Amino acid sequence: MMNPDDIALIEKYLDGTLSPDESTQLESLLRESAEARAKLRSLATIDFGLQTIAEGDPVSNQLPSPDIENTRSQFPLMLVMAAMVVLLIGVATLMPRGDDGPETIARISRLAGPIHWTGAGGRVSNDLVLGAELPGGTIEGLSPGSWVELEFLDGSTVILKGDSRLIFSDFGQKQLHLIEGSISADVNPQPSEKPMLIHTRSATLKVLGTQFNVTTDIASTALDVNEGKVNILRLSDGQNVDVPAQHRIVAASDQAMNLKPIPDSVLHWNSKLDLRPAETFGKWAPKTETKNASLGLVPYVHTNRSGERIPIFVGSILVSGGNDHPVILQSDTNIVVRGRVNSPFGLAFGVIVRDAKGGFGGSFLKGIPPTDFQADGTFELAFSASELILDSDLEGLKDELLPNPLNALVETFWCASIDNPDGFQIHEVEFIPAQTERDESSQVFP
Amino acid sequence: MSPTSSNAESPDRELFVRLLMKHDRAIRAYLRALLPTVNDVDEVMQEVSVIAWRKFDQLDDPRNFCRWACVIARYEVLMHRRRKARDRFVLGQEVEQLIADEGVEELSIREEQLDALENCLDRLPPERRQLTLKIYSADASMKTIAASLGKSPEAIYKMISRIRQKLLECVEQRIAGMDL
Repeated sequence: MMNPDDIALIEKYLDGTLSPDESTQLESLLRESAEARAKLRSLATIDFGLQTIAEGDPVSNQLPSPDIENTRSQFPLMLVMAAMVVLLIGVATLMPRGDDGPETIARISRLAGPIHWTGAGGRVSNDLVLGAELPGGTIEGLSPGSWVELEFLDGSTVILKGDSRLIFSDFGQKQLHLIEGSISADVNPQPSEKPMLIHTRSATLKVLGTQFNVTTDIASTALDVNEGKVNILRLSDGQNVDVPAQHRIVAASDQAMNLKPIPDSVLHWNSKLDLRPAETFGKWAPKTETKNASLGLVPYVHTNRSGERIPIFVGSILVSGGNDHPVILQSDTNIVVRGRVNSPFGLAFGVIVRDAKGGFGGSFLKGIPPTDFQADGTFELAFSASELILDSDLEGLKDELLPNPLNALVETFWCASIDNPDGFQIHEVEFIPAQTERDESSQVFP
Repeated sequence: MSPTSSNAESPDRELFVRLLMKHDRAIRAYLRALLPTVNDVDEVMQEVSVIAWRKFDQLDDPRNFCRWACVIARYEVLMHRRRKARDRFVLGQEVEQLIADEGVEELSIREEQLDALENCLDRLPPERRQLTLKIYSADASMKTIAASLGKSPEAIYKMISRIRQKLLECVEQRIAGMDL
């Protein structure tokens, strides 16, 4: 049962008489209480209903009098409504669609990091904002920290993650072309004869309504289905498989399409850079007789919270993806980064994690000052996962993200600096749980 | 639809008008919980009507019209919010999303409540009923009504708030079948 003060806040909202403090109280109440939200909807219905009745009431403009008979009819109101609807249809019909530009099929419901948009006619924009309405086109993340959520008109959402490129359209059937990188999608039920289609270089996915993650590169497509079912067709030979919830599959011409349960998560992880060049972003170099495999940083232009465009040097490694076990961090996990550098500089190491629905859970970082580097050029830097804090550029989205990266699936490890990294190379990154012995069952093999 | 056919009564247009009019109340009631004033509801509803007509050929099953239109309405509320983001009466996005998502599941309840409301309004004492309609009519200002009754606007707001809650109680009893 709601207390009278809470109901009073809702009533004041409907009357437009909330003070700023009361507005904050109401916001908090509605966020926390389903009962309060239901009460708001019901009282709003009463408020709206009274408005409708009053507008159709011929006596409502007279002074209150108990002698006036109750006569009212909504018939005049219905005539007005009908006329308005017909007029609006007429206006919408006469106005060619081109007057308002290309038709919107999705809007940006969340975004972070640098995003590139190529719309109708090849117009390029780097200034997408929250709420931007988009017709079909190409959307591209330019850095490991880039992330954008598209919401279609039916409420289905697609999140483009990191350094990825997606072409999307909707001509009565949603069609996505994932050219490279990763998306996760939460798709509302689609018409059976017009499922959402996702095309990659190696596969076509047919989606009727589900939650899943897809990662693709030039040769393969990896699909994890969290809810529902997705049909995947391998383009090289036409083999297709229905992938049920909590299963994954990889479509590539050089390996069998075996359906596997999504494995349990592990706490220990090693980057194994010599084995996974395709899962890095940056300047990757292979192992030689004299040198370890390494990852260097590459430059791009980053727009910070203040809107300033500054050059940033960045590199990243995919942590959970493909055939690997999902990796999670715990508060006592040590993150160890080994490499070399010619002269010390300040940088940040970070992780990007997924939320429970497979969407963007946040980017969390640890700043490393130049003094932490050893004098001889090689370095081994270690810190606890509990020291990772939310990237300040995401402060505005704080309420929508996880409070910390612990016990969430780690998607990417990244490194970034505003200083030019003189000879900087990462040789190895390792997540080491507090156990002194590595759990053999947690070993990650390519 | 080409301009030359705008004067013809196509089956699509007729069906659209019937569906929109049938579900107009429920959609507006859905919007009222998301928007601070009835004027905002009118503004957004105009956009919803135009966009719903333009996209009407994408609706597979007319039985889903109300729910489908509410998705469009939700989208338009988000656009409307962008224009009024500084207004303290605009709910935050997280809260708005919760209210909207839960509201889509309650569309039939909205219809039942609106159907029961007239009967409950009739049960008010006549002077209360007329005062309520007076307050809700477009021509009445709270200041004028309060002055004509020799009361403060705050007192009138409190009174109308109690009346709304009383009406809601009556409506809920009618829907539950407890009302005899």
